Amino acid sequence: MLEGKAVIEDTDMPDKMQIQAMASAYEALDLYDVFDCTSIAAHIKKEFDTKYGSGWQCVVGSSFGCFFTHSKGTFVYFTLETLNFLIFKGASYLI
Amino acid sequence: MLEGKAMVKETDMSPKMQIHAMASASQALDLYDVYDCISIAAHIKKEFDSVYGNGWQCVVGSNFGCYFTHSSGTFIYFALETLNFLIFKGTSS
Repeated sequence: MLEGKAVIEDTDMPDKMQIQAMASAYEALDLYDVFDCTSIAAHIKKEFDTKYGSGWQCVVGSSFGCFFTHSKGTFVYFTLETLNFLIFKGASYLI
Repeated sequence: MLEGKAMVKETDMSPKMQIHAMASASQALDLYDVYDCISIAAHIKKEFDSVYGNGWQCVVGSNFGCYFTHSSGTFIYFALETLNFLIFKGTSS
């Protein structure tokens, strides 16, 4: 992997899951062009749906703001190269 | 409202809900600065949670890509001024 080190901005995920998130991001950046944000997000979301159950959401880009409700312990926001990554599992009901 | 007309890019929402989404976005742009994407997204998400039940997600920005699973009939993606808006109700499983 040629990418630099990812920097976590905010998270409530367990450490192991954080590492998985960043590994998925590295993998996606190897597979897709840096401008193809949707394919990068798709790759990460599909991997998380497979490993941790369905319902994951992923936002990738250089300029965005979000407001969302997420399940506890499933949120990570980090930067890698020129992109920001947001991964979380959406919650339909507030707990 | 001083904003121009919103342009829907993709949706599976009912027309009534679409109008509500765009009205909510226009309202948010009246209240907040165009650079304050999070407050704009917050305004829209909170309104949708209040009116249509919890679980809504909102992404606002000029450069982003997403991949997500949403409940049927709850997805809209539109452009308004310089920003793109994505609103959907996430599904937990």
